[in-house]
Amino acid sequence: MQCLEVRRQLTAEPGSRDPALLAHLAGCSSCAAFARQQQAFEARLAAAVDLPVPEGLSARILLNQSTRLRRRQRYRFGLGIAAGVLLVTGLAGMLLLPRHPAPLEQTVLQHVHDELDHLAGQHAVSPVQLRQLLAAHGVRLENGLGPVRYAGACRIRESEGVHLVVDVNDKPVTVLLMPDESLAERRTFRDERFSGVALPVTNGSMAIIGDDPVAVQQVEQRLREALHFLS
Amino acid sequence: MDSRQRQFEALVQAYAADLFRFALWMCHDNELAEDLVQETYMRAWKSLDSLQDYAAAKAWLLTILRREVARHYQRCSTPLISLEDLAREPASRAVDQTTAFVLRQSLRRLDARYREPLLLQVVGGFSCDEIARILDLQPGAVMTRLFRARQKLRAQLEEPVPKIDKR
Repeated sequence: MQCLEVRRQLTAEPGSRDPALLAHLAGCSSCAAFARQQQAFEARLAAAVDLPVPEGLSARILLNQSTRLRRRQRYRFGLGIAAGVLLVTGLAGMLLLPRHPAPLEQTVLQHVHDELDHLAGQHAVSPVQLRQLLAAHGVRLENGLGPVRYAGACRIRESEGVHLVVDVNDKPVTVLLMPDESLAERRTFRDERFSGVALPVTNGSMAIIGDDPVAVQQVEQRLREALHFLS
Repeated sequence: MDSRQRQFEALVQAYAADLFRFALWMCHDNELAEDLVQETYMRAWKSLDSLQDYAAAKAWLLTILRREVARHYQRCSTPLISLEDLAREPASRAVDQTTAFVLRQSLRRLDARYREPLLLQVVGGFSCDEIARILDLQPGAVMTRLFRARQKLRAQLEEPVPKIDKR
């Protein structure tokens, strides 16, 4: 390595353990002195950025997580108790029930709103990655879906599914594959921003959501032609 | 305790402190930094099953955190650290407090495209290749930004910036 390259690399990566760089330092006193200067500065920089972390941070994170989980469990437990009371008393239409579970459509809309950053994803997902992800969830990809901005596993209502964002003329459309959600028939829905369609598939249900209803329809057509659900 | 919960707790114990420091450097507010880290971990919990390679867990968490920071970007205040604040800070190492003060001020003023890769390297401990993946840049571009970041910081300390002569 030349001295210029060594010094540039040391400035960018003072802790570099590149064997060629270390070999150069062993034989060049000038660059070795430069390296010592960089390391001295690095020590000051490391101390300056080492801001104190509030005590108990990890404990609060875990408490927050367990509190949210318990709230969901209490909600489900409350539903079970209410159902039992209904059965015992036989007052099917007269008891006050806790909040009903959100219909699937509401849940998927909320999920898309919670994960808006995926719509802006610019990472082109390769067909190989997409096939692997879908195969892991019992789905075979038989044709292309077009450009895919995002693909990942995600949880909806405590069940694991697949979350995709496909591109239709530069418009992102979200696809949620939900193996544990059953649906009787195809339904359309919307909120103030998104339009969507939910439909039953072989092993669960699928939702397609986007800003543009035409793009949503196009994606639905693509999916019908491209995906084969393994039973 | 199921394995998912154990994995999550391991991620919290291992990385919460560094995530907090990175968030604090990005938003300059202790409470907001903690909120951002809390939200990061809640999102991580929801999509924990998408984490395929635990060796990349820290980079994955940083990516989620950066998205959370972007969401709050408009609301982040950027107060310059006051001398009173400096007096309250515990000495982290045996370092001249004036130098640390100047470096912190300079780091806050550094353009984000230089500050962010530098923080990922110094606070996060990431390699250039890892930083390139997190920021979706070429490794060469990351090296250039790290080089320039340090040159600018050293200039603020009025240190003679070492000449890198062609030899």
